[in-house]
Amino acid sequence: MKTHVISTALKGHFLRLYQIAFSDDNFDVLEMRMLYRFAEDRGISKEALNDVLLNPSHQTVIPEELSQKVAYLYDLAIMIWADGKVTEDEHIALKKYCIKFGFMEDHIEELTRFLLEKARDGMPLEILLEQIKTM
Amino acid sequence: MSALKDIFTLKKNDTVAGTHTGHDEKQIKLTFFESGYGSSKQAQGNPTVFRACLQNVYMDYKGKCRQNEELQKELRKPYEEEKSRQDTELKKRKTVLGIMEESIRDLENKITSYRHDMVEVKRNPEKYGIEIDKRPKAQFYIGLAVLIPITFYLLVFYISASFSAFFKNFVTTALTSAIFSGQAIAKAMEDGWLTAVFVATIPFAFMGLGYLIHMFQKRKGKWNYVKIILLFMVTFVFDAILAYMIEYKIYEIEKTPSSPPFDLKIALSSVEFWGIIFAGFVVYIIWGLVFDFIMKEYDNFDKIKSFIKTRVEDIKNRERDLLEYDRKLQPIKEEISGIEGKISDLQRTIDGFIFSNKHYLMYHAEYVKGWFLAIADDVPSEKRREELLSRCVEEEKGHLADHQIDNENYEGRLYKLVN
Repeated sequence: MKTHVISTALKGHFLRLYQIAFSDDNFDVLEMRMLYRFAEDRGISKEALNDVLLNPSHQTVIPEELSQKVAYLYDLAIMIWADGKVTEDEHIALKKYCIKFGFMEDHIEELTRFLLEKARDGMPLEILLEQIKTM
Repeated sequence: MSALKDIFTLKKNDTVAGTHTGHDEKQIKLTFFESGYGSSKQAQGNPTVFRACLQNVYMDYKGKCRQNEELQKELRKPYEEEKSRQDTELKKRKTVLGIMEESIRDLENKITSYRHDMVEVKRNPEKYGIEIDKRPKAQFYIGLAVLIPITFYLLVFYISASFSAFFKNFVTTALTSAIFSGQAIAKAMEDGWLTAVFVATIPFAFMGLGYLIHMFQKRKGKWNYVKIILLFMVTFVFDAILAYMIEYKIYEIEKTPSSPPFDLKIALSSVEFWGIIFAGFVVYIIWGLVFDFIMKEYDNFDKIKSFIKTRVEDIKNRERDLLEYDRKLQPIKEEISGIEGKISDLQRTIDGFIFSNKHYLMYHAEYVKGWFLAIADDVPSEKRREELLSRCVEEEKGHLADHQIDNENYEGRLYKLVN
């Protein structure tokens, strides 16, 4: 199992995702708490998280480009693997993000599984995006 | 597994079927104009009838406004957007509250477990990684009871031995009086106070060596063992020198002209020499061991005490954190109830219907235009016409004032009416 280092870019993506989840009815308060702890455990600073929590939301825009969407979701998958396991809650959260990002609901299960598998294997994002393009 | 392409397909955005209502609006405006014109003609522009007609138009528009889902949807939009913004804020605050309450619970649990630890550590120190004997106190006091007399013994022995070795003039050859000198201090005082200080402080050099052995033993590592061995050797040599000096003095008194000169060989074969070494060095080793032992027992007490002390500190810190959380909690709770109030207010607006002044005034103007035009067309007398028009203008103002839409500042503002 490859251990992943949570880079600054990854953290940035997560904070934006966290922001997005607040304006989504599919995420409830318990999940938001879970995601907070999730981020805290992965080295995202409390200040950054509290900043999201305590400041009024500015319009959080979901990325429009497919590659951008995939990049965000893939980064989340990488973060999920950071502790070497995928919990049920984490899986559900990833699924909800996939739905929020406008992917077909029929394929959500496969999509999340795919992202998690590739993240576990440590496939670089560029190669993943290349694969999607060529398919 | 489906092809990757399928998996990564995005949902198609439904384009909102927005039908243009411009045409309808024009039509409605015309209807209002015609209705105003017709009614005016029938009532010959009567101001009282005009007032009643305006009221009728108002009520009619209100009814239509309420039924017009599309218009309502449009009017509600800003309220719905505001509500979803408030919902987001509420969710954030609730998340904060949840996280804080969780932290408070954790802190409280920690404090309870710390309190428990403070009691439990005395009973079961191993549980907390403190390795100590079961009865540290008894062993400590027994050790102390042994150590004190040995300390006195060492004091007495070294004072007298060093006095004998360095300053005493031998007159008799009895062994006991050779080694042991009952009035060592008093005699040393006679020689001068420096002599007295010298013999009185020499035992502390030995005890200092014993203390060093204990300290080196505490630390791990080969080098420390080497140091301990060196210390033992130094003490032994020191003892041997004392014994040698005493033995030399005795030999000098006893010697006959035929005796060979005193040397180490003679000293090593002498009973007094070994007697002095055993009475000093061996007892010194015993003193060192007992001292080491009771220091360890004392450390054990200390371990439990310092463990309890850290726990007390921990509890204090946690309690401070708790207070801090409590202080932060209250404003968040207030904010939550404030936001909830706003949301339910917005929800009432959304559930109710919204009356648009702006829209109403547009149709109202058409109706009035129709009414006035009919007066202009059908009333021949100019005076009568003027009178009717000015009275109708008054009536119109009154009507607008009745419904609080007379102020121009309000134009374009949305009025919400709750069912």
